[in-house]
Amino acid sequence: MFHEIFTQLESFEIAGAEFSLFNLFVGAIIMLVGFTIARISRTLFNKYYAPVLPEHTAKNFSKIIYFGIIIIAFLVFTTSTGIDFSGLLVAGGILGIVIGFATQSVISNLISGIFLLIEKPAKQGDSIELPDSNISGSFVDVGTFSSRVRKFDGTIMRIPNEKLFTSNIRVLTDSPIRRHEAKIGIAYKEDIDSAVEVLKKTIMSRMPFVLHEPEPEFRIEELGDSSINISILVWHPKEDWSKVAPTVLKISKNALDDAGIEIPFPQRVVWKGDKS
Amino acid sequence: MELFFPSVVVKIRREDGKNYSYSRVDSEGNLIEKLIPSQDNKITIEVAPIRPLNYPARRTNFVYLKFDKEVFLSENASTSFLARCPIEIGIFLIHDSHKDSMDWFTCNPANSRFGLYGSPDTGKLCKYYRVPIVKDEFDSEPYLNCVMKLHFENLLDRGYSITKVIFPITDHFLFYEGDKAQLDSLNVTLRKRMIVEYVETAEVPLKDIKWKKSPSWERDTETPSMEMGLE
Repeated sequence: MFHEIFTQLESFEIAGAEFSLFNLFVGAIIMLVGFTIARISRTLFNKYYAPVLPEHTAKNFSKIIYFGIIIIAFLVFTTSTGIDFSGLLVAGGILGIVIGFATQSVISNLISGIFLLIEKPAKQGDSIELPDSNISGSFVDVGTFSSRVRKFDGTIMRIPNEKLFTSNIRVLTDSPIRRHEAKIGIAYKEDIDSAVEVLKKTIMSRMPFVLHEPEPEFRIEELGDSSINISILVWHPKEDWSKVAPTVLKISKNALDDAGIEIPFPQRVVWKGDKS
Repeated sequence: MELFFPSVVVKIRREDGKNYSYSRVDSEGNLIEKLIPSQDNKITIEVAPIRPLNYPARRTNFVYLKFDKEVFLSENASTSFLARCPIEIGIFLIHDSHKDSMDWFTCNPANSRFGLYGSPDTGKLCKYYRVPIVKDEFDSEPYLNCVMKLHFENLLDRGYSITKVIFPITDHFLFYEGDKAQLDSLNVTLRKRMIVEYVETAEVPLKDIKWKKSPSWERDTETPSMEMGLE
């Protein structure tokens, strides 16, 4: 009875494609069922399978399942209702071009997001740095159009996928250890070997997160205007940057002070000329 | 009750009613205090050596022992020797046959450091210790280290100098008697497969030992053996 009522309703055209209310009703039911199945599948996956997978893999799979089912539902809708989109596409050509130009960045971000999911330049929770944008923080996730980075000050930075995809990404936590570099200067009158020995002994004994293998390295960086500049290179576990980097200079300065080694600062000697 | 360890003092006192207080002062003067409510006016505590993985932070299951002298092993030869391995001290609260880890500490924080085996991008982060080779299984320093037996077998067609050993210590158990401690033994085999030389390690449990087994506080990993390249 309903079928007869709907089929008797007049069909209409949109941009050259023929639709009827019956077709739209069937299509709506198919899409509704598709959305429901997609949601249930995603919920079941998140509940039973996601906990045993790495967090980033689980989220990516969850998105693939959800959007994959919706795309399949849409294809079923178009084929079952006999809607021929070729006419719509031809008739809507000009409209398509207009929409295409208008949504260029949207499509670009969508495609870049897919490539980011495939390439996986960083995992969720990795500390990353985008040197070009001067952004650093913990990588949160790749969304449909943008990615999120939790900066070290706790705020969330949204980055368009296209920008992230074309940026240089420095992953800070991919290796088990990281190296921190600091610079300190000693006076020209001081013995370099003694100063290095003092620094090495103090850093190795007072900084528990500094690796003993490889050992801290000390390089004479330059003979500066006022001081001999020494680079201090220390390795630490990737998680423990905050326990090493902020304190290495303080401990080094205290060690040199205790050993009576001078840390100079720029000084200018003015010679007064004598007329005679 | 007061317990004196090298550079660490632990005090356990009875507070009002069923409560006890626990305090620890370490070598740097840091104070840790805890309140222990008891069910029946008494508490049972076990002080035992634990694997040296927790200070300054738990980052790995692996230990890197660098020997104070090299051991040269000629081709197709084998040898066994004893080496010290550092320990930490665990304080366990015993109730209903459960042993809950209440606190842990190291009596030698200056010797508890990290080291890397391998390259910075693919290497293995380990707890790093310089250790001496010793003569008998009682040659451990109280509360600081234990003794472990190492058996090396060289199946290669050339001699090798052994300077260090890297292994997952979570596969090993500690045993203690009084203030002496021993760790499960380790078999190390230097092999060659095709043209690749590699090291195979496997733990050997101490079977006939009468000493008490330490509670294994850390999460165990099931790694029966591992393969590593030779340097």
